[in-house]
Formats: sequence, structure tokens, C-alpha cells
Amino acid sequence: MPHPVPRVFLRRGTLALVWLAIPALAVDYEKEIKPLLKERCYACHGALKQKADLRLDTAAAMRKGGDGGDILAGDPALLLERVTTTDKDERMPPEGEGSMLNTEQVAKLKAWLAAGAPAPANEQSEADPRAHWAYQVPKSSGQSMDALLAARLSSKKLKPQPEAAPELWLRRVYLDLIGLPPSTEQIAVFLKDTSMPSRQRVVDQLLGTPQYGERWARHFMDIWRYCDWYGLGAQLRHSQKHIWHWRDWIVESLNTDKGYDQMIVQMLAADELAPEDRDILRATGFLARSYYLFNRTTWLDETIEHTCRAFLGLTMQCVKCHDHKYDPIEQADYYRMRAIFEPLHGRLDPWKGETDFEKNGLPRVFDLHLDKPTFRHVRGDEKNEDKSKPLNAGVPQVLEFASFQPASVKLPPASVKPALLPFVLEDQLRAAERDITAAQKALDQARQTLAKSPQPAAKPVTTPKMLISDDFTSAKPQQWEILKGDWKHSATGVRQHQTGAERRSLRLKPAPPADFEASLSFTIRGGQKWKSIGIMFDAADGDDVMVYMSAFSGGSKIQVALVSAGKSAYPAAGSVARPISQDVRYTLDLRVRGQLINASINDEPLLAYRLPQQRREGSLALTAFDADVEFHSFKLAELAANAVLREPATDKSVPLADAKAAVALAEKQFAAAKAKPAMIRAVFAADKARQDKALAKAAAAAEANYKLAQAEVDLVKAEADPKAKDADKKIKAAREAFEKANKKVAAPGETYTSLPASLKAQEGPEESTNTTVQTYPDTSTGRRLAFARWIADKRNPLTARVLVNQVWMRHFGAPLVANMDDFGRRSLAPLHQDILDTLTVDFMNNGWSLKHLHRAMVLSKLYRRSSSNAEADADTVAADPDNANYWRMNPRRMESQVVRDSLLHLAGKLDLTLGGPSLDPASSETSPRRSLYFVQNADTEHRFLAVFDNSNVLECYRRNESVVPQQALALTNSKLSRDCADALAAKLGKLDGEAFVTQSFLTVLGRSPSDAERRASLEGFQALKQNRSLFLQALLNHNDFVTLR
Amino acid sequence: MNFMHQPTPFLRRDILGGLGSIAVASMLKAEKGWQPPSGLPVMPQKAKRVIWLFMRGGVSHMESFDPKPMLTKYAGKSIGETPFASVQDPEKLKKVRVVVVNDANGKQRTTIYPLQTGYKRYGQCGIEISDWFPHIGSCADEIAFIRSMWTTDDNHGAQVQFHSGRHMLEPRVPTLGAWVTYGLGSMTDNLPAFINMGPRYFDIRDGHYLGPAYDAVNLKVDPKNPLTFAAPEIAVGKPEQAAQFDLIHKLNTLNAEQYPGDKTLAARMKSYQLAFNMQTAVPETMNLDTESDETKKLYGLDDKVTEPFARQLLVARRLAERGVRFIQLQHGDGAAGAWDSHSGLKKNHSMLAQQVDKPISGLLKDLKQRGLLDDTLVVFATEFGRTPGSQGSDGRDHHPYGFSVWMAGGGTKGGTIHGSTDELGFHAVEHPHYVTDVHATILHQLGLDPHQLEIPGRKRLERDFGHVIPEILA
Repeated sequence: MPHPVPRVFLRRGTLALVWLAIPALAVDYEKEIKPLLKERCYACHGALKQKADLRLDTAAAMRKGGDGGDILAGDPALLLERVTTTDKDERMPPEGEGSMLNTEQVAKLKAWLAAGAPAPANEQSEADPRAHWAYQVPKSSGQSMDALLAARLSSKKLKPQPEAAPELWLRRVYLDLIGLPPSTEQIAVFLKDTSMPSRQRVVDQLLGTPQYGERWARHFMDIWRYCDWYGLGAQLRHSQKHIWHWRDWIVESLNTDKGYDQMIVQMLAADELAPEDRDILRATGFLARSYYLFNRTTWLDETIEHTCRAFLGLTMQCVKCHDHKYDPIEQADYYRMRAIFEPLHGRLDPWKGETDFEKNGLPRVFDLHLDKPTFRHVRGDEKNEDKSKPLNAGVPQVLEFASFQPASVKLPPASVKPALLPFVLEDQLRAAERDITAAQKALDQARQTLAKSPQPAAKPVTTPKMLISDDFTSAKPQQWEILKGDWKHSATGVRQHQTGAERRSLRLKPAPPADFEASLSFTIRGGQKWKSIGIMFDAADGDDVMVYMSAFSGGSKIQVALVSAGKSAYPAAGSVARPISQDVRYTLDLRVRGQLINASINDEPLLAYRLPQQRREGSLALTAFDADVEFHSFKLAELAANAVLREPATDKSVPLADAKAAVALAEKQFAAAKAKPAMIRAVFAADKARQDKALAKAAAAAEANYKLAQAEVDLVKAEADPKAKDADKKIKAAREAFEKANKKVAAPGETYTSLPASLKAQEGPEESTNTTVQTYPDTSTGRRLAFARWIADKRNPLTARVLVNQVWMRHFGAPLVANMDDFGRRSLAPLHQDILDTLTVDFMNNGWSLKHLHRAMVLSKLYRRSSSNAEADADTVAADPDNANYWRMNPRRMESQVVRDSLLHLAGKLDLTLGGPSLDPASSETSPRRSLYFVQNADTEHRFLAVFDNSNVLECYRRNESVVPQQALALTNSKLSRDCADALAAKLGKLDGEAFVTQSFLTVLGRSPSDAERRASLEGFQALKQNRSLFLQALLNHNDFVTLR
Repeated sequence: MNFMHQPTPFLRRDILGGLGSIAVASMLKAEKGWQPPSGLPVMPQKAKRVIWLFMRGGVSHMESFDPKPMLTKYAGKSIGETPFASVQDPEKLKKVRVVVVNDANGKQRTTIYPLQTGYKRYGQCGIEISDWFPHIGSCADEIAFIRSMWTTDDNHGAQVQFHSGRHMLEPRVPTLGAWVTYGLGSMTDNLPAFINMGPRYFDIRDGHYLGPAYDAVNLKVDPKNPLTFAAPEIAVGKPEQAAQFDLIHKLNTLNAEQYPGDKTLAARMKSYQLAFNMQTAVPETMNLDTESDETKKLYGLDDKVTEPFARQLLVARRLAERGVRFIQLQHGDGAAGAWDSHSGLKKNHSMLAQQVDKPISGLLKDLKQRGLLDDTLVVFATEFGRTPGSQGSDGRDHHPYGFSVWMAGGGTKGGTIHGSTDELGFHAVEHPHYVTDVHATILHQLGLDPHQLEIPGRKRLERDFGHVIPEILA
């Protein structure tokens, strides 16, 4: 309890004296005292509750008093004492239940008491809360809404406005029913026949278009808090992925005119009602939408609050912490309702045709925690549960027209194990086949790459004619000419010590053959920077070709250098990077035929290069460039005629070893992919059969085979990358896994993993990822189904009334019951309760058909009425300036989505494609799709939609209709508005001034201009230098454009 | 009216009471006994406007405005080894509500990390301020420091909490700026009443159930592109645009003859006038060419490090002069906010402090020399403090149990220190204040009753209304 309720009123001398100084005033009990007591005291001392056995709702009751006796008698009277005491334990209203009465209020009480507490003799006590109008089943008057309105207007002597121009009516129904304005052609056709049958035809036609479902889905998306998933980065914190399936369900349900009662039941309990109907299951997005990663209580609180406000106009959120202050609902009712949702959880089931849950899936709910008890949270504090007694699922007693008895629902196998859904096997096999094809393709690719990879030089068939073979153990001046450098011979070869950027060469004195094969064995010992050695040939007149290897630490390589006219060129195609180290012996093999050059290092073919110019005769030399080098041997032969040389690869060839490794891996991956279908089939068969040992064994064996193949892939991968971080550990782990998989194949057992066909929502952030759970409970508590049926029951006095009020507000601009989401005792019986109730009964009797309800409203006389005050009866305007009696229509402003869609529609750009995944919000100013299809959540900002009061995804029982300057800026300055004006201008381009103005009005505003408007427009058109686009944009800024007149 | 000659002023109250509350009023007109706010203060008004400086990420209170020499004394020791071990009493740590479970951050850090900067005394009041904020120090006599703040979110959702008064796990409610704008409306015909500059992340809106009309309008300090749709996205000549607005006005005027007494139409016509004026007024406000070099230097516009924030603050002063009610500035990029120094606190904080220190002192001095400080309430705040213990080798973690904010001008008492944390800077111990106490104090100075702001069915906050902090008021 938030405060102690003393059992006995005690008189204390602790009075605040402020009020004593104020002279007694004449006070009207009915006007000044009673409302005060009602506001501040009745919640605990009235019809709702009688704490301390005391009621304050009549003077007589106050005299009768409660536990402390008459509270009006004495001086000061107990009433006064308790509201003025400074003792916090005594003070009324108690701390936490409201602030103290102010001096003015106290003075009034005192004055009233001083006057003897006068009150009317026949004062009525506050009515029984259960008698509240909205808790009574609605009754039809049997009359039409127009007749009821006419009677009311006439009884109040109010004169209704005449009918609006037919074209205004037409624009109203178009925007109201499909959210798009009529075209000039549609207006013209309608104006030829504006009779009732013609209007009925228009309405029927509009209700028959798919755009109707989109338009009204947006309304219900407001009320039902449609919200795409969002979180922090990739972490899903709110709603669920692919929640757009629910949006599509809403659109489709409206288009097929599914009964509203059915829609409610499907949204709250499709998984219990029709667990095998995928289309219907989409409806539970309503519950999945409130998912909140961090706190289950928050999720359930939002679920309870908004289910009740949306469907019942019941404010349960107050009851989370304490008994309701106005309505006969106690705190325990809140937790009884929580018990209905306590088992609830969310998951993604597979969507036909897709096995990747990131791409598609069916967000839905189900009962997971079947036995979880529900406890009352003391003062709404989830950390303080009253464990003394778990609460059973139930509904507030005041609305319990029949006992609440949920019946547990047995679920079909595919609900329990989504892997058994008929399409899963097919989809998984198809995905596996796709993987096989991809693996096959990858393997083919790898093999082709390998084929193109440089192969070890094939041994020539005939032995080449050896011309030179020198081991450099001694100088042979007849054979070699020293061109610079310090060359010293030893047992291991010839060494040149000098470094620095200069060529130092041994030139071969005999002329080499044109096509030759040379082999140089060497060790680079040092150098300042470049550390290059090479074989130079065709050297004459300062030009030459050189194939060299550089141990340059900035990038060692083999390279062809072309020297011509003193300039060196280093063609990229003649360059191959390759590790070359100091103090390591290498053999460079060079083969030249015509312009084609092949070079290998240590038998590894690296370079295949074609010279860009013709060969020329010249000498051959061995060269060092900034290299301390030792040449160990050199051989030169004529190139054998049948020697095979490689042509340069057109694409970059892969080193042989890498290409071989890639093939090996691709082979393993292909093998693994091929093993998968067998596993999928075996696992599916075992899952389907359940409890069949032989099939389970087969599944386990197939799984073991597949896992072994996978382990082989992993092992090959690990081994192929010996230089990776922790490579040793990885290889070891992969080898162990491989051995383990091998053993498993030998003894697979009977356990296996079901197909990954469902994704349970995380039960909290401590779960690192959405858990792949494949088996769910095989029963559901049936609580939500019972609850949904209780809501969607004709005997429930609230549900249909709340809906009719929602629809009424959207057609007539003002609701019948002001608080759309609170039909409790704070909402007094509405002025037009007869209309509300009549429509409500008629709605329920017609299968809860929304289309029926729309027809009743938009074909009414009221809907045809003008929204203008012009020439209205002065008394009527004076008596009812706010139009509470609907003597005229109310103008309304388009919702943000209608503004954008209408702009695009007028411009002829709107793409009417229905449904599908939510679209990137950033594209909303360029994409021509309807506005309801863009991602909407609390993290997303739509520049254009935002300025016209976009829906608040957290709650939106009624759109705001603000008027702010940003709207003017958006319509005058945005590219969207200008583009649309340009497109319109192109359409209307050929008309002359006057005809252009008229047609512009008709197109943009759905009506012709008045004479004054035509004159002003023509002047404006001139001022705009006859810029048609700017003129049309001005019309898009006309108040009538964004208004449903 | 002629849009060829602009801007044309018109009656303020019509717009603000009008525009802002049209939606709410029309929506709820059936509700008895409720009136939209009149726009007039209900109590004596000491401040007319607010400049709200929010440092995103969490400023270390120990290294800004709340010196704790004990941290240096016990550096390297665990808290349990100090005489102040009781700060870790689990009972005292209960108030925190964790949003991000198992986050690497938002943990208790027990190894005491020494102060990373020194302190000096400033002004006649002799208040100690860290060496990272010498310029703010030079304004100490204008500032009332609150060293005893606490909040309940140990993660950066606390930014939402500091702006709105409600924890991240609860439904979003309107922020303070939205309520102030709702309660008092605008003082200008040419600019939005509620402006935000700088990055936001956890909650990008302000109005919530008050409606989007009470969202802060986001401005950028770029005169070429200060506001969404403020300039034509497809070029149009100025005379053409004036002619367009003229035509719109004429046609709507004719429409008003067909629909006499249509308040929405009247409001829309005024909104076009305001929009037209805004197109000029917003870039004009952002254009600092007319400011003297002396003024620019005062804010630090001549220094690369201080220039970005200096520019925003100078614009803030210009907005204040031009009648904007609530100017909300956010400093520090990134989702969490740049001040979030889990490592390298010294480097990070000293750099960020340098970015804001001179501009803020420049703002205070400039407001004072122009006589604006008397009725402009400047608030310096952050979502929480940082742990006395070290995170890693050189950082501090989030710390909701105790931190500092300050206010200046608008009837606050300069040169004041109010409240304190314990010797380690761990808990607010003397005069602890929840974030809504700051809100209540601001509303009080603006002449609004923290308990009386409501729309039908919704009272501001419903609870934790906050208590005015009389000790910091002049």
C-alpha cells in the first residue's frame, strides 16, 4: 500500500491556519464544492471505493460519515481538518495520491461548512461504476444516422449546411477511401451523374481497389503501432525482422473485408486458432511488434496497454501500480491479464522459398513458457513480486459477461517442429542443390585457374645443344669480358663485391643464338638497396633487354627491363612479385624464342612475357646492379625446336601452388555440398516419423557423413594458410575436429540435429544470438484465444464501439467519443451515443464488415454536407461554434502519407505495386512507392513525412494535425514538390493561360476556380512570368490541397 | 500582404499559441476543464530563455568541477582498501536500472585512478575548477555548480533520461525543451521556438505525446544549408519565389472568404508568412559576418580547435537575441558521445574540454556584456559522471551515482557550490538531486509550475516532478 489508511478519524489540533483568515464566501455546492470533491476524493470515497467506509459523493453520505463519524459536524469539521493537517500520515488526499488542496479550495470548503453545508435535498449518489454507459451492451435505435442527427439538430433549432459541391464530395471519398485524389477524367465522369446510385457505384468501385486496403492499413498501422525492427547497430532490440508480413496481412484483410472480429482474433491468437495457416499467422505480428530485448515486463506492459487501448478503449496501464482511480478495475486485474500473455514469446518461422532468415521469415508468436506463474508486482515494481499467490489468467470482472475459460490447444507437428512444414524440405533441398551447383562452379573455376597456372617447364624432347657451361671456379677471359665491377673467382663461383646503383657485368664474348635457353645459379650476398642481378641480351648500341631479379626489401620481384635510347622501361606485364632473399641460392632459367620470354626461378614458372618490339642482334651479359653477388654456374644452349613456351596469360595467373590448393579446397567443398541433400532427406524423414529408431540412425549417419566432409573442408582451409595468426593452433583444432568427425562416422548413434528451420527470439541480451531452436511446446495455453474471443464478442460492449468511433473520426474529422482510447468513466456518455450505438449494432450485425461501415458513413447526408460556415445560420454558428452537432462537415488535413502519395499520383509517378519488404527510408523522397512501404521505427527520420505529423510508432490513436512553417517550406522548397509540379506542368503544357489555370485547379484541387480565383491566378501566373511549374507548385501549397474540404 | 517586401512581422501570440497547440487543442477540445497553456508564466518569471549545453558521453565530474584529492592519495588501491569502502555497499548501488545487460561498460571499477589534472581556485568565490576548464573558471562568479547529481541509467540512454526525466526502459515522454515551448510558446515571428544543434542518438525527438510540433527544429551552423527545406532544393529566383508566396497568400485569402472562421486556414496562412520569414531569418542568424572580431575572438572562432563549438555558441546567442525560447546544443559525436572516455581519459577529456571551454566562457561573457545573462538561463550538463576507479589502464567507466552540472544566469546565484559527493566522488551525499530537480528549477525560473504542465490524460512526467533547488537561486 502506498499510504496507510487510518481506521479511525482522530481529531487533532494540528490545523493549518491559513484558511481561517479568509472570510466566508457564498459558495455554490453543486458548482464549486462537488466538482472539487469529485476530482480529489471520489476515487477512494465514492461509488468506486469506500475507504474507511466513507463516501463523499453526497452531503448526506458525508453526514453519515465513515469510521470516524459525521465529517461535516464540529468546528473545525473533520473534512476540513483532514485536508489541512500538516501531519503527513493524516493528510487527505494522502501523499502520493495528489497534492494538498490550495488555499482557495480550502477557503471554499470552509465557507460551505460555515454556511451549514447546504446541499440539494434530493442529491443523488454517484452512479454505480458498473452502470457506466460504455459498459452496457449497445442498442440500435433502428433509425439511420441521418435521421438521428436531423432530429437532434431540429430539437436544438440548429440548421444544417447544404450539400457541398459534388466534386468536393468526390475528392473526399477518394482521399478517404484510397488516399489518392481523383483524376480530372474521373471528376468529369462523375459530374455527368451525381445521383445516389452513381455515388454508390463510386464508393463500391473505390472499396474494390487494392488501394483501399493500403489506405486503411495505414490507419490501423497507426492504432496497432506498426514498427519495423530497430536496435543498436545490428542488435535487434525492438519489434522483429520482416514484420512487414503483418502489414501485408492488414492490407489483404482489409481488401477482402475480413470481419474486424476475425482480425482481432487472428492478431492475438492466430497461432492457436489456425496454427497451420501461414497467411493468418502473419497477423500475430501485432504481438511480435512489441518485443523488447531488454525487458520482458516492458514487452508485456506494452502489449497489455495497447491491446486494451486499441481494441477496448480501456486504460489498463494505470492499474499496473494501483487500483484504477476511475474505473472498477483493480490492480490484480492487470496481472490476471498479464497471465494471459505470460507464456508468450516470438520466433521467426521459415518463409516459403527462402532459407536465409536475414532475407525473409515469418515473425510470429507462440506460447513458450507454459507454466510460468504470474505474480502481482507490488506498486508496479517488477523486482517486488507478491509471491504469496500466483494469479490466474482472466479479464476484468466488470466486463466478464461470460466466464473466462481458456482451453489448452494441441498444436500440429509443423507448429511444434517448423522443419516439418511441407515446403521446408523442398526449400532446403533447393538451397542445397544451389550450393552444389555453386560448389561445382567454384571447382570448375579453380580447375581452370590451375590449368592456366604456369606449369613446370616440360623437359625438351631433344637435348639442347650446349654452348656454354661455366662453374666460374677460374677466370676465362677468352669467354667473358668484364664490364665494370670487381670479379673474384673461388671454388664456389665468381663474386662481385661492389655495390651502388650501377651495372657491373660479365659480357659473353661469343655471340649467343637468337633463340636460347640460359640458366644462371647465384646467391645475392648484399647491396645498398636494389640488390639486383640479371641476364642481359640483345645488347647493342646502348639498347638491351634484361631479365633481372631484385632482393629489394621494398618489394622483391622478377622483372623485364627494356633499355632503349638510354631510357629504361619496366613494363607491368613483365613483372612478377616473388620473395627473393639474401644468402639463398637461386637458379634463374630463361628461355627466349622470338619475342616470347619465359623465366622460372627454381623450376617455378613465373614470367611469360612478349617483347613489344622486334628482336635485334646483340650480346649477352650477366649483370649485377647494386648487388654483392656470387654467380655459381651459368649454362647457355640453343633453344630446342620442340621446347614448349608459355604465352603470357591474359588474366593474372595464380601461382601454381595456390591454384593447386584452391582446387583441393574446392573439391572438398564440393564433396561437402554433395553430402548435404542426403543429410537433409534423412533428417527430415526422421523428424517426420518421430521415434523411429532406424530413421534416427540413418539421420545420424547422414549427418556424421556431412559433418566429416565439412571437417575436411575446415582442415584443408586451415592447412592452406600456415602463415595465418595462430595457424598452428587452428590446424591442430581442425585436425582434432576431423578425427572426431571420423569417429562419429564410425559410430553415428541415434541423435541428430533437426533442420534449421526456425529462429527463436532472444529471451534477453544475455543470449548472445537468436537461438536456433527446432522444437517448441506441443500445446498452447489457449489463453490468448479465449481473450481474443472475449474481445471480439458481440456481448463485449466496448470493442465494436471503439472501432466505430475510430472510423467515424477518420471520416468526419471529430470522434463521437473524444478519447479514442479511453471509454472508461472519465468519458461521459457522448452527445451522439444513439448514433454510435446504432452504427455499432449495425456493424456487428453485418459481420463486423468495415466496408459496410464505410458505406454507411460516406453515403450519408452528413458526409455530403459542406464544411463551410459561409452563409450559415447565425444562431447555429453562435450556439454550436465547434460543430459538436455536426451541422456541417469538418474539414480535415491529409495525413503525411496522403500528402506524399497524392503529390506523386498527380505527377503520374506513383508506383502502385502492392506489398513486400519494407523499403529503405532514405529512398522515400526518390522512390515512387506508396508511403506505407517505407521502414518506419523510432530511429528513422523521414524528412518529408515528418513535417506533416508522421505516425508516432510508440502510440498513435489519433494523428496530430499540426500547422507549422516547416510544412510550407517542405511544399515550396522540396525537390519532391518541385518535381511533381514539373511533371504536372509537362502534362498541362499546351493549354493557354485561362484554360491552364482552370485545368490546374481541377487537377490539383479537384475543383474549378471561382472567378476571383481565376483572376488572381492569372495575375499570379503573369507575375511568375508564366512559369507553369511554379504556378502549379503554388497550387500544391493552396490550403485546399492538403485539406479534405 | 506582400511577400515582395519581406520580412513582415505579425502578432506573435497568434502563431505560438496558435500553431503549436492547434493540434492538441482541436484534438482534445471536448475535454472539459482543460485549457491549452496561455503562453504566460504562471509564476514570477526570472528567465525568458534557456541555452542548454549538453556534453554527450559523460564528463568526469572529478576532473571538471568536483575535485577529489583522495583519488590521488589512494591511487592504485582498491576502494575496499580505503577508509571509504562503504561506498560499495550493495544497498547504495541499487538505484541503477540496467539497460544493456552484460555490456563491457557500465561496471564497477574498483582500482582507484588518480586525478588526471590539477585544480585552481577562481574568482571572488574561490571555487575550485580543473585545469582543463580555465576559461569557465574565469566565469566562476557567474556559475552555480551542483556537485550532487545522480541518475539511474548506467548507460548512455541516460542522455534521454537527462532530457526527459524518464529512464530508457520506460516510454518516451516529452523533453524539457518541449514542455518549455509548450508552456510558454515563442517570442519570435521569424524563427522556431525550440532549436537543436549537434548530434543526437538515443532519442531524436522531443515532443512525443505533445506532438511533433514540439520537436526541436534541427539547425546546422552552415548558412548555406541551416535547416531542412529552408532553401529551394531546385533553384528558383528570389522574385519568383516571392511571387509564388504572394499567389499562395492571395488564393488562401480568397479561400478564407469561402470558409469564414476556419482557424486552420488562418493558421496555415500565418505559417506561410513565418516560413517565408524563416528562409531569410535562419541564414541571417547563421551568418556571423556582422559580428566584430573582438566578439569572434571571445568565443574562440579564431582557433581551429574551438571554432566549431564557438560558432554554434555564437549562433546560440544570436538565436537568443532573436527570441528563440529553448536552444539545445549537443557536444560530442558518436552514438555514445565523444566524452565517453573508457580509455585515454586524459587525452580525450583535455582535448574535448579545450573544444568547449573558451566558447562557453565566451558565451557567458558575451551574454553578460549585452545584458542577456539576466534572463537567459545557461545550463551545462552531461548524462552521468565517471567512475573513481580506473577502467583498463587509463580510462573511467560510466558513473550514475554522482556527477556535476552547472547553471548560470536567469536568476541563478553565481559563485555557488551546491551539494557534494563523498570523498571519492562516488555517491551524491549532500543534497542529492535527481535529474528532474534540474528541470523543476529551470521551469521555476521560467515561471512555469512543474506540476501544472499537462494535456488531457497526460500530466508532465506523472511522478518525479522534481524539486526546485532554492539554494542556487538568487
